[in-house]
Amino acid sequence: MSTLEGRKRLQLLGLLSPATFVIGLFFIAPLVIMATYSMLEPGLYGGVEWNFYPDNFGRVLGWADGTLEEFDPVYLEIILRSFKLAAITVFLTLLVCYPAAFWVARQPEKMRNFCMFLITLPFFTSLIIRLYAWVLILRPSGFINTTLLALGINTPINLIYTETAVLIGMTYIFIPFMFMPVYASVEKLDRRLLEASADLGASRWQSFWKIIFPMTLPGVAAGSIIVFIPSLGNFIVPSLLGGAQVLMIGSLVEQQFLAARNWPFGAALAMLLMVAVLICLILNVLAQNRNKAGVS
Amino acid sequence: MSVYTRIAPVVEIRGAVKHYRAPEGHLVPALDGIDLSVGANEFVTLLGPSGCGKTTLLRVISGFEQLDDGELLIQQTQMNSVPAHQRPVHTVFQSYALFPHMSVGDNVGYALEVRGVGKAERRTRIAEALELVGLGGLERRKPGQLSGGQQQRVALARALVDRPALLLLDEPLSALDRQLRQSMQRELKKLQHELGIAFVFVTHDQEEALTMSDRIVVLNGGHIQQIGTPTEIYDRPANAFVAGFIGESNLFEVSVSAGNADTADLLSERGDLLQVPRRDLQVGQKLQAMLRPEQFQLDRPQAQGAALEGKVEQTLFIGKDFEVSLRTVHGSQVKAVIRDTGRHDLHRLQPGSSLQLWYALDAVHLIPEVKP
Ligand SMILES: Nc1ncnc2c1ncn2[C@@H]1O[C@H](COP(=O)(O)OP(=O)(O)O)[C@@H](O)[C@H]1O
Ligand SMILES: [Mg+2]
Repeated sequence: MSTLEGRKRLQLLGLLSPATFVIGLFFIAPLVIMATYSMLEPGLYGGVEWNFYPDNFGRVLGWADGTLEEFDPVYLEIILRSFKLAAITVFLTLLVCYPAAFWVARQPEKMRNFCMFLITLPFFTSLIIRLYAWVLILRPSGFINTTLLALGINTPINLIYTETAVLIGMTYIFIPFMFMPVYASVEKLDRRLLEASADLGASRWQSFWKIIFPMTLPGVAAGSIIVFIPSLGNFIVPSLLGGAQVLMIGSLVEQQFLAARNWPFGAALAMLLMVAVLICLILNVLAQNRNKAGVS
Repeated sequence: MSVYTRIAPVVEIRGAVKHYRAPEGHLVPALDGIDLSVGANEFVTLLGPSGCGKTTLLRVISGFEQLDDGELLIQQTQMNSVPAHQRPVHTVFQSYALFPHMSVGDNVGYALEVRGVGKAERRTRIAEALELVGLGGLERRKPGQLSGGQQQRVALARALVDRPALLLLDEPLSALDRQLRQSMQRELKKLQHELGIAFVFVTHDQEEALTMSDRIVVLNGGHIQQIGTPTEIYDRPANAFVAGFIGESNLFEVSVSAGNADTADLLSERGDLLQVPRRDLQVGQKLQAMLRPEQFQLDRPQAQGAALEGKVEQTLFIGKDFEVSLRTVHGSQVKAVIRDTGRHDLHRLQPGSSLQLWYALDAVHLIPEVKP
């Protein structure tokens, strides 16, 4: 190695070290701590005992020693429910955002900018306050039921503390996250391609499935990931709108850390969640690669 | 009516009127009473400056714009309100508009696929179409991996794959460099001839129109200025606009000042005198007289001729020929292209020297004054 090259290397190392340090400190270190804790024995009054203890995972996945920790299928149930609700949230946000993106993209520029402003408007208010607003709307004496009562329908419908309430809340908060990537791909869509498609004999339906849908798919995929991952681990919405009935894995983790003070179990749950998300992401990347390879 | 349309025309347009609404709200006419028919196997070019309505006329035929008034027939069927995807017409777009997410093969096979043609047949016809445009074997590429010229050919193959009755081409060559454009012009012409498909070709390039067309439709401001074969349009422009737009021309506003048995004198507004065969000109009649630059020569012609006299302002060697700018004694500017000049004549073309530019009397083309 020449000295010049060596100097360059040193320079590079120097330049990169702050970034490396920040990533190491704020990203890798917490992860290592969490991974370690997930395999330690919970202390009787919180904290950890420094013994290897795989039963944190066993409680969820099917083995446990039966004394301190017990296997309970309810945890798997909660994980499955989280997946289900996150998937439905993705579907619902997509249902709202996909047509809306087309509508906005067709508006004159002023209107488009105004719509973008409306989409970002909720971020000016605290999430907690907005969710409490939903509590006010959904609770038995809330806006929906008083309206129904005024219309002469006397049986109040039970909305709050149901899966429906959680889905409403999650769809509500994640709509902007779905809208942005979907809109970006819809706006990029070249109208002339649609004319070419019609010109070659394709009906509107055929043009949609052969041109519009495949060309907006990257935006849909990006939006789905951006919505799915935080929905899966979300704990604010299920805490406020789901109560004890609709426990999701996010709230479970939160409970373990803050209420039950069982840090190792909370860490184990968080690790499981992370692995699940990683698997989803890897599958997505693989699917995209196959897509690219498939057509060329 | 041309030789082509005597048989059943592919497209007939009668009294076509189309307005756009400007952002300010008022209506802007884009087509203002167009009558046109295109015969089977005919290569028709729409020629005119930018904004004259060429694209609009194409889009009316392909079905992306609706006529406000008038009638559109394709293969003897009224098509005013038939949606674009049901018309037997394909378009080659200026931007090519290839589907970027599909392979070249899928692009070319698109028209077949949406009509439900089976995969095996599709494959052979895709290969045929690509072969036709000289891109055989590129089925699996993506459009993004092709050069501009190749994309152009893919667009062409895509539009020809199911042999439409009529192909519309909206300035398809304008994005190509000069050399490629010229070779594509020849190829397109040849292809059109071999396939026997009617082409309606849009361009603002008069040279391109003259080279390729069976007939040229000169448009301006939503009106047809003239329809004719390239030679008709070039030799006998119907009005000053056509004369000025196609080729170079020297135009004189003249009135008939005197006449004898076989010639008439034309006096230009500036005072230049031109002579033409008598024909049925009346003394006092106002006209425009046109002479193409290449109709001038340095010596008296064999046929009956006359000359314009003046001082040479500029002489340019344009390869083989010389382009001479002459200022006549009355101050008019005349442009002449002098052919086959012996180099010994060169001193006569020196700037500042006096020169006579001769023309044959029957070379002067007269355009009747249009009554306002
Ligand atoms: N969508 C439109 N809205 C308003 N005016 C238009 C529209 N398309 C074309 N025009 C106007 O109609 C006239 C003809 O346009 P076009 O057919 O595109 O001309 P060309 O293709 O010959 O350049 C122009 O004056 C143009 O500004
Ligand atoms: Mg145009």
